[in-house]
Amino acid sequence: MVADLLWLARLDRARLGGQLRVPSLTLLVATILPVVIIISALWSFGRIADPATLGAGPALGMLVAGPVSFLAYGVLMRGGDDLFLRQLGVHPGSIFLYRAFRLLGLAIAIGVAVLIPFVAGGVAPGRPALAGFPVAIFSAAIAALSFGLAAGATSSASPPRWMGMGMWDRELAAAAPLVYAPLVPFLAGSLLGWLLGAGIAVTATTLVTFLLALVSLMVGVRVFASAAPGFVPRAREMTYVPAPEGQGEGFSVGKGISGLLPRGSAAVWARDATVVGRRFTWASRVTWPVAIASFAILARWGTDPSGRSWVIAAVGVALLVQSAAVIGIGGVERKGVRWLDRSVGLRERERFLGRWVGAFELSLWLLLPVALAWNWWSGQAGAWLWPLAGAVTAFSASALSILSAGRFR
Amino acid sequence: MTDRGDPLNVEHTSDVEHINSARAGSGAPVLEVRDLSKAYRRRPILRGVSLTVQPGEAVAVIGGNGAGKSTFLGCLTGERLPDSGTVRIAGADPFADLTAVAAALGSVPEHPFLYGELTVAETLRFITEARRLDRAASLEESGRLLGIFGLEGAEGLPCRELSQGMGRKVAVVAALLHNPRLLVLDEVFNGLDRASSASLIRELDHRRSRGCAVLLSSHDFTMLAEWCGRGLLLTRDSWKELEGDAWQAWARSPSLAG
Repeated sequence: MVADLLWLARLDRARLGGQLRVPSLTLLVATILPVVIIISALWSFGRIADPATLGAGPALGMLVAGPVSFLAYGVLMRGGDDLFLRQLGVHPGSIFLYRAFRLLGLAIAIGVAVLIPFVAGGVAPGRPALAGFPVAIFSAAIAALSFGLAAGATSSASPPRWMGMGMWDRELAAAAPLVYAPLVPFLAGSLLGWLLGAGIAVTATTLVTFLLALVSLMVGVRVFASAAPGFVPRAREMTYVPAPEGQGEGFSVGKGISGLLPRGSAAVWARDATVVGRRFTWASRVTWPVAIASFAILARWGTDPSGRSWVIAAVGVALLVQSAAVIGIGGVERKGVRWLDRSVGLRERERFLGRWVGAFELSLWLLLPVALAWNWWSGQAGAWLWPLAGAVTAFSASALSILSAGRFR
Repeated sequence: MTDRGDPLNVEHTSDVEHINSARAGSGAPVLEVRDLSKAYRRRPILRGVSLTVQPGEAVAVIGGNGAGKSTFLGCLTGERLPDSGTVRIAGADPFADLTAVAAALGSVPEHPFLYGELTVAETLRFITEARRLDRAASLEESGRLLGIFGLEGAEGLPCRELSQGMGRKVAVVAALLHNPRLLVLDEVFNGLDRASSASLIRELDHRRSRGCAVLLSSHDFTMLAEWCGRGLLLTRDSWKELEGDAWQAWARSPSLAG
């Protein structure tokens, strides 16, 4: 197993080295840019809000455990090279353990990121660090256990049907253990954050935490290794999504603002909207919770600077998520489909216009309610800045998207 | 007995011969290539290739792996930028007048990626809108073409669920939808079953009889020899146009040596 881990580490180093030797726009857009944006957003949040209100308790635990749990499936389960590595004879337990280490590294990075607002706000990061890092390590280890067990349950001959109760889609119900798996590390990490924040037997709690993390990791690896032969092919099948209803009714040209566009740009708008709606569902899903929460916070605490700061930060993050989806279309095009636009004679300016209008319209679902609430309850001027921010963000994201797709020539 | 599913037993052989023999002097060329050169990282791939194609002609692009077939065809469709030389499609420069070229050209690249999230119907609807085609006529034509290639009933399938051959057939339908004057087909028979290959040959015959020229690359030399009227042979360090007796000689015993 150690030899496998070393080999996988060398493979990763070679891949990363190749990317860094010839840095691409994709690397910049997909990796470096989001990291820079997140760090600067956290720093700004620390400067404008009071990070001490986060404390070192359950809120901090949730802040660390949430992202770790959310990212765990992608890190642990979505390896595109699973079958290839297995054919090379790499033990599935080694692959899973290696990915668990990756998740652990990511969790520690999240633990560091959470300290940024404290440092920016001039608050000593010692106490939050003592709670944040154990939570990060514990959440990652529990995620390995939880997803290992979920893999076993999903691939077993008789999967637990009760977990799929209430799920309308049969395929989704069959994958119910995986759907619920992130809840376990989230709840466990939050609980630990609460315990450490409350200062209850901190040393003993931390020691027990590390012991439990080690045991969870070992059990998770063992369970996954025995489930892998059945689970890996099943996981590949699960990546197929059911066909959309009808034969193209979702593809609507001429709706909304696109009715004002030239026909070529309107076609790009409709195509992009359909692709974003189906491939980057998270981009549209983030809109409504942020819009509703921002509306409610402005209605209740609109005159409070910290309330307004939260809204600005949340809407900023939501806009970044939407931008990531728009830039993601460019990535999809770069991987191959770019020829289609070239062959039908779409020019770059038509592609840009369609994409920009689509991205702007997506942002308006979020920004219009926020602008109205800001105008009514914040007591501040400048509500018009919200849609303007949407237009500028959509402009930048569309430009990056077209650039990341590569030029036709 | 004629096997209707065999692409090599083309039913319209006499039509093909007629079209091939009626090549020269039938109006302005639909494709003109002059001294086309292309190198990748200083490694020459194309060295001054020239070719003229008249309406209704079928020209085979022949070459081994890495000889530059896809590079040559990519330079015609504008997907690759030549280092030197000129390309004119129906008189228009693919690197200057994209709209005019797109109206005259239908192309299927070697790897015709489609948006996996869109269904077949949505993909063709997108093509219709982007090309500004008449919606009703385009719907009728796409239905006819899908039927020809055995894709009726597949309209609602997301493209990600199509097999390699089905995806290629959708790309062919997309390339034919606007009645192009020139078709550039790169390894288009890869992954097609025999019945679909025969259907495609018949449809291409039909198009050629109406003046559409076809530039076709394939490793199926027998099919190229039977169906095309002349050829362009690319090798790693040279190129040669095969026509008249030279083409007849190549067609009798096809090889990469020319």
